[in-house]
Amino acid sequence: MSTLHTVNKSPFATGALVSCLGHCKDGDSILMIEDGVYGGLTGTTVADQVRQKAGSVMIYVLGPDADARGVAADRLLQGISGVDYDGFVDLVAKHDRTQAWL
Amino acid sequence: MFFYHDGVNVATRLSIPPQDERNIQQNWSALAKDHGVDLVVCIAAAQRRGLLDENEAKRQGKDADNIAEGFRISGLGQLIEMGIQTDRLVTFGD
Amino acid sequence: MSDVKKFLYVNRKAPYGTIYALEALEVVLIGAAFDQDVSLAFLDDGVFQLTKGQNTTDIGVKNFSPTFRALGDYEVTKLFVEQESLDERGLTADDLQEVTYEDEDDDWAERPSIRIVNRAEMADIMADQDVVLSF
Repeated sequence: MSTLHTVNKSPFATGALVSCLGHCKDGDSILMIEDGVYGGLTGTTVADQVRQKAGSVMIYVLGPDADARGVAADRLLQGISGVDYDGFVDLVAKHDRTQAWL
Repeated sequence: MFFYHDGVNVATRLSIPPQDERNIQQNWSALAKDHGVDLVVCIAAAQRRGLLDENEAKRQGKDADNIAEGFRISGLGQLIEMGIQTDRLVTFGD
Repeated sequence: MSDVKKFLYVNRKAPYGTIYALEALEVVLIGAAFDQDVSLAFLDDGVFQLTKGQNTTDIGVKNFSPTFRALGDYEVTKLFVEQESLDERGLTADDLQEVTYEDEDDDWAERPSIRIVNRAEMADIMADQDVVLSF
């Protein structure tokens, strides 16, 4: 059993991403959407925490939200990949439950 | 679909977004019309925020209703029912 | 008949500054009638919802903290509160109001509904649910 976690806030605005990282389990996925995509950037104050989880948890950003914000693929942490809306639906189906960190 | 908290505001037919912006309410109404998606608006959240259908307006003695086509007002129990009946529940919010 | 599902209501926001805490509780109360296996999780600022001594008279909104005490009557008896979230906020169990239920399996003995768990336990609880509702 695994969980798809969605994070929709910038980690510099709220503690949602950090809290999510603190509660997800091996085999889960984290999908950064809306302002949450900023959590995937390299060189930030949370990058180490994200990087640390990227081994045991699959981390994605929602491509359209990243594009909207000019967050280019080469500015994302290694191991983070982009998915489109279809990919979002696939992730929802693949995991047993979806948990939103609002 | 279940609309709760400020999400109920999507269901007003009185919004007038600028011409060059998306019309969220119309997009939802189209989704309901074209794909048969059930758009349920929570009555408690709707009342708080002044979103009414014709019946509610009459019941509450208000002089107008404002709900858009394709949306229906129902109780919070519908959300739980959806959680019970469906295989996956996804939340978008603030 | 469908199987009973495990429902978790996740509360991460402080009370009164936004309407999320109150409207989340309204879902819990309505949802209680559906006889599912219900738990509430309080973490991050959500732990502030359960503190004692809330007096909302001068801000003119309803003090809904007493409503938590009624949850036992609705057979909602599992309120998981995260230790680390309390620690980060300088709170202890003593700062939380008493919420109890009557255990029908034990001669209606009064038991605490609030169960303080650590972060790892909270993660396990979350991973065990069928439906997670976040507010």
